[in-house]
Amino acid sequence: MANREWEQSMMIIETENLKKLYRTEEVETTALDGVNIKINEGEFVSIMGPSGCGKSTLMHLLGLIDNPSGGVYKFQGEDVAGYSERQRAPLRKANIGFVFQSFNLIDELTVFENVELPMIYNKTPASERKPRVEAVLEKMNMAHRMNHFPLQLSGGQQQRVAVARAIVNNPNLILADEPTGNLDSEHGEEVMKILVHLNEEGTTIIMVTHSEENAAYGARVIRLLDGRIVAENSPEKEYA
Amino acid sequence: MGSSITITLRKLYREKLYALINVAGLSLGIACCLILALYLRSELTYDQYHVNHKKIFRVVNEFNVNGKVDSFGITSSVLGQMLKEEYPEVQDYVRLRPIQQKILYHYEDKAFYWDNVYFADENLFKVFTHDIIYGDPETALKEPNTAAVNQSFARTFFGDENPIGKVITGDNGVPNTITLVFADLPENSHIRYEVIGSYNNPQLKIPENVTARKQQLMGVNDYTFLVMDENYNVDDFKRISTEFFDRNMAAQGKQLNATWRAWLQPLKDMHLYSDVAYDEPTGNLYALYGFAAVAVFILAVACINYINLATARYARRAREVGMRKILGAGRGQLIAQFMGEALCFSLISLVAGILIVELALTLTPINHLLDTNLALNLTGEPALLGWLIALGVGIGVIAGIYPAFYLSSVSPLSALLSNRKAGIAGIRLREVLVLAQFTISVGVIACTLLMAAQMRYVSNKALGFNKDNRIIVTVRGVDLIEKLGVLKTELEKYKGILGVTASDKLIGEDMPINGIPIETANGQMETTTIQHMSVADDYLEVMGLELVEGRDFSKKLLTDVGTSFVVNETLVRKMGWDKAIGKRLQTGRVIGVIKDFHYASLHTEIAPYALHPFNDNFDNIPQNIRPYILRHMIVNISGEDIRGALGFLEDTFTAFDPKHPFEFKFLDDSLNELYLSEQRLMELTGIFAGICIFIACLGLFGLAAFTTEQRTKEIGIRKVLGASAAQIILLLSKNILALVVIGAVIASLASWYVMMQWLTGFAYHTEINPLVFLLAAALAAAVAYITLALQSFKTASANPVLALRYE
Repeated sequence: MANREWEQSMMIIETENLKKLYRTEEVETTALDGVNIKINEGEFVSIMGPSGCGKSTLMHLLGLIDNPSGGVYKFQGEDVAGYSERQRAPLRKANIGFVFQSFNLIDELTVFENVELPMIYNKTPASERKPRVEAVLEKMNMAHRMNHFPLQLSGGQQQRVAVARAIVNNPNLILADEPTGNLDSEHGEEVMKILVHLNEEGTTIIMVTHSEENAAYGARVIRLLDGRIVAENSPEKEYA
Repeated sequence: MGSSITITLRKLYREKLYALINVAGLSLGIACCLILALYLRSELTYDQYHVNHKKIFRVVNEFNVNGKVDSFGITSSVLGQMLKEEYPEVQDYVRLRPIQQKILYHYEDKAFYWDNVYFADENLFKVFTHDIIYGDPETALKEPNTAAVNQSFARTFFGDENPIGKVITGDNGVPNTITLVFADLPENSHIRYEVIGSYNNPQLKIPENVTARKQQLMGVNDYTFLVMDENYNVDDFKRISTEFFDRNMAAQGKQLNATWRAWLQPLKDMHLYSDVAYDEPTGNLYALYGFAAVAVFILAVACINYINLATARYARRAREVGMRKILGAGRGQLIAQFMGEALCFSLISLVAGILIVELALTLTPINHLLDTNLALNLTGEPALLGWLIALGVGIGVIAGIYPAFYLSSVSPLSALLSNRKAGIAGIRLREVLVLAQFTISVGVIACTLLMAAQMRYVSNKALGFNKDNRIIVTVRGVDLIEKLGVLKTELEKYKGILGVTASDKLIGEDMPINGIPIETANGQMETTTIQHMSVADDYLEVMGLELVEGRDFSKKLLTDVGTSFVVNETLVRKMGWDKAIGKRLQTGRVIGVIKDFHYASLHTEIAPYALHPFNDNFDNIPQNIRPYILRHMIVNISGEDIRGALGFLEDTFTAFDPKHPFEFKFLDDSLNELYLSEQRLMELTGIFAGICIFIACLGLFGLAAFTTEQRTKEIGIRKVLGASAAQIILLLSKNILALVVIGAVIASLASWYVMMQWLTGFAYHTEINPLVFLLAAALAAAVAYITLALQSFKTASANPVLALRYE
């Protein structure tokens, strides 16, 4: 019994028979069809699969951006499947950082302001915000571009800012949706190294990717097809 | 808030078109609203600058003679004094007697005509509030033949010199010593006197004898103001009026078959809530309602632009909003952000609007059109600045609240989905709002067109006399009037002068109304109310009046004076005469009947009317009044030689009357002045209609930009499949055009109703032509279509590959 409690506290994500259906007037599409996943704190998990297999939908559910149509989703042991946006928002704010393929920086804000934004929404006092933003940008090697606007940066630089924004609140979990999809290989590798480094520091990372090469940075690969998990291995095993 | 200011400024910079459309629309809307608000404020605060305004009331009175009721803004000169003596609630009274003509004042070798000359009691400056420049208001009007003048008068005659003690003379040669200079009265003063002569004049003295006093009660001469208790209930004056009539006037009234009553008007109500004869021009409450409505409409159209453009940008902003939510933004924070943006826009527009107002008031004839002198004095009026900021904030809230709630409702998922359907939800609302904009625009355009139609009707209507090439010259003083016959002969020697006559009143002016005994069809004498005018020889011929029966007055028959009348057909009809010639009027008889002509403006119906020859016996006129007797000389000149005829007229006239500067006007110009307020209203409405549709199209232009952007891919596909640019433009504009048509129908009904009301102000008016509504709708649709075509043409005519590559 004690053993089980320990196991649960280590587990950051657990889903059981997770489902997501999209309905339009005439068609019902099953995006996820009974997905069971367990992810422990500190893991680096890659999710792979062809276009339309449900990777992004799974990311949205795991990231508390969307609600499942059925099944159980426990986030840090709390069943959140039935939560409303109002209930999900504080959990998301406190625990999860996001990195997207298309960066999703806000064009009207400077690099500094983009990174500062989650802390403003988290009501961090202004006096604490500045040093932290500077430190995170320093870490991402973007401190010299602090006062630039996103459109003045290269894709790789924008993604580094997006990563800085994702980690500025010290989240337990980073969800990265094809973080290198819009980058050339050199910049892609740079971003992957940053993620690995963050993982080494203890942050749990879940990454959706098309690239076997990038998937190999993670310790475990979950493969999806038509909304179901078809394989779940460590990459070493697969290549072996 | 701080961050939303910087964000808004950056957005303004990055999305220049969007920013320009919003700021242009809102600032124009605010400017119009502000100008109209200043105007409304001026109209609604008339005479309230007087410290005692709550204690001052004007007495107006009504005479009922033989069943004919007339109410007047002026009363008998003795009324104020008698009321004060008989009723303790009357604390004091002030009389102002208007001299209803221009006075030529002389000082040394300078001479200028001056309007707005009055006699007033010496307490005028105690009861009413004035800015005194020179002199002592306590004593200024104590002595006879003293005068208080306004600053304009003082400047004109004396420059910057202190004129106290200087002596000016009027035409009658009586010297007046200037004892006081007061600042020009504010624009929003009902009675705008410029020169005040002392009422303390032996000739104007109230008789001590009670019977003599009572006899004077049946006449009207003066504006009479009473000072009462601040809380005085004007209904209580009914009792005073009845008692006063019974005690002082009933006996005389019985003889004349007349009754009288009086009531009080609070000082501040004189301008807008008064409808009596012999009053200064009053404001038009309905026009004020109209202006207030227009102000609200224009502001609404401008706010709608903001709402439409803000929600149309949903698709663009959904990603940002979703992202902010993912990063932890609460809905409240987002609403605050969007409200902050709207407030930024409205405050920037407020500043721009204020600049537009400043420019409009100094560079455009808007003040002339409103017949006022508005100015925006923000430094001198901190309260106004406060109101303006409140207005800016209010507009920001009204324009921003819906977009704020709408945009903040985006789900965080929207940030991650690249679909463009997101904007569809707001389409219905935007359509309704565009419909509202075009309903307003078409309505205002239709009203303008209908007013223009009536103005055209007014200027083209046959008036029953000839108004072209008739020159009016004012003839001042008995001395000159006695020489009119010689002057006429002199003038008619010139071949470009076709005829000369004169009258005591000018067509379009108020004519005397009297109840006189007239013979009925069965030979009885019955008191009938008619309007009448005294005329000189050849009046019918010079004015081109058409005689249908009998004869004109004859120079040869001296007996015509006082015994003969030429009457109009309406009088003949009213009396039911079969044969009019020879019927008795008062002591004379009808010698001719003329076709009905419009002796007054087309606002009023033609009433029974009579012309009679002048009685040129001036023996009983006192010496000091003789210079102030007036006549209007009417000269018919040939249209081929206007310049020559005018030159001859001036030379000849000046030779006869070297004392007065030659003044003339054309009859048609003077008639046009009768419709000045309507003409101005039409021009103003036209301007506002233009602004209204401009702002609406500005919004449409912006909206089309977003629609086109959202449909770029569809446009590309259609073009690949063979659609022409014209077909694409039609595709993009047909929804809006349908809205314009629906708006036109609603607007037609509304403006038809409003204009029917407006036209009832004219006894003679044009019929409402339904084509006007069609024209207004076509105009709005054309402007809307051009706007949309301008915007979508680029996309519609571009290489389709560009459109397809867009996704």
